[in-house]
Amino acid sequence: MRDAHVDQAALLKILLHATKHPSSGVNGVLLGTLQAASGGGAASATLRVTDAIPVCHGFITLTPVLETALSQIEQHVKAQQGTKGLRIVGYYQCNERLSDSELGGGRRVADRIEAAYPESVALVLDGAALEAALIAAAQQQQGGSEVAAEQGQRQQAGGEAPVLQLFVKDGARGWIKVAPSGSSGKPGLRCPTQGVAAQLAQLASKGMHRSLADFEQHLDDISADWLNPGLLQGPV
Amino acid sequence: MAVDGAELARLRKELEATQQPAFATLRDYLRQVRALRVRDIEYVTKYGAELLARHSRKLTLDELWEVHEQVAVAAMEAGCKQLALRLVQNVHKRFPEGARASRLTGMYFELMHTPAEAEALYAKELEKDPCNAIILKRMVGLRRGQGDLTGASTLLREYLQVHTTDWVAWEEAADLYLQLQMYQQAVFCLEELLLHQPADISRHLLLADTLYTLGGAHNWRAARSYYSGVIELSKGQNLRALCGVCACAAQLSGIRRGAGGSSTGEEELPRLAGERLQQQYAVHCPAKLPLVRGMLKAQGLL
Repeated sequence: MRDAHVDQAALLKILLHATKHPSSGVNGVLLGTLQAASGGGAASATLRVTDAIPVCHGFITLTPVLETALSQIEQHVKAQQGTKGLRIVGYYQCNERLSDSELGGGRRVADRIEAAYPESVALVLDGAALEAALIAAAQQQQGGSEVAAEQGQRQQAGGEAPVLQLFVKDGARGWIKVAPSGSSGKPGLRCPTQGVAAQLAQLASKGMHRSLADFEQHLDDISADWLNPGLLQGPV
Repeated sequence: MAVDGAELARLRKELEATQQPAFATLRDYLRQVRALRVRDIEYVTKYGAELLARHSRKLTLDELWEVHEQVAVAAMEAGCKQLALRLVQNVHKRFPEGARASRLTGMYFELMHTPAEAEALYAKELEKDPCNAIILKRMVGLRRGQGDLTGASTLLREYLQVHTTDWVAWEEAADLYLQLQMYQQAVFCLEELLLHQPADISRHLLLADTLYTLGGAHNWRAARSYYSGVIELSKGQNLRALCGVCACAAQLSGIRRGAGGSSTGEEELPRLAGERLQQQYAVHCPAKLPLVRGMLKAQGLL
């Protein structure tokens, strides 16, 4: 098994997409690179997610919009010849229910992406972890009661839990959940946790989630740009 | 007051443009959302709370409680627990007996992760009136919130056998079946809905998308005819439908090549849809035109 690194920018885009549609499921496509580790074969390669393209909100078990998006994202990747090794590296999904962090109905789409882009992974939002992180961040910001500060400290000391759940395709067993990698050095998800919730809260309070456009929105309003250029480059 | 999407969009802009929106803007915005039955959770929560905090005395009593209900539901969907609690308590105080109030109170229990209390409350209401539509539908929502989609769809099926013309319930059933990936059942519900509202473009698209996902030559052809219906209704403007026709053509051409021979009519429609797509991108979004052309090439339409 290999490591999957998620860059902060990709993570924030996924979270903003979910924030924009709080009561429905959302999904999208992950871009990044797959680099063979020096000396190792494909087995020890590192998968790096550098960007997330938001695609659907609402009916995430339907395929036409996602297929159309995939086809155009492929073209986009081809056109980015300056970025070496950029490719489609997976699928992400945030479920309708916060407590649901299973791939569920998304398996079908994730399969399709994995078939076309081997070694692809799937990321599913862990709503419970996100909620806990947001509450901790809010309490820290308020600098509120001593109990809150204590809780915050404890959480920082122990390292916050990643807000995404990693799934990888394992031959006959299909998509399996990979436990978050601790300090044990086991391969798994490497995803920024420190301060992510605070940053999301800040971006959302500026209304950045409303500026984010997914591919489905683009089909309803051609001027909405699903590449979201400059979304996270603004003054943060 | 005209009830349409353009008016709603205008009101949203007006709200965004100012720090302290006027009473009439807030009230009319919430009215439009109710009349059009659109989902706009964030704004309804934010501006609804503002309307109730600053102008509640200016509302008629009927509207005051209607807004309470609307904002409470939005606040619960958005997870704003304190605001929801305040509103639900107000409603409960004013209407300690009604089923609508019980529905809100139950929803609050659901939000606070005490579904057993919600279920007990609904059961009590159903004892009073076993056919109460509001409560029966809330039971479906309760199951759904618990992640029991199969249980929810069973309850909803029973409900629809009695309330055959409750279109909102048919919508919910379609939505549930889509989540369960029971596409064939979703198609049935969506066809029912189309009989009721034959000019609803988003419904045509949803049905077409469902048929496409279901797959197979028969369903792709059916999907194509719904997509082309939308192209006609929208005078060639609707991108989803144009893309849909192209995707169906790509799927069907794979089959046709296998079977040999093709009718010219089958080639004409996707060719026109592809041209129309390119035209629209050339005019409104030239930066993405190469991507769309690439897609059409991959689909064998260019």
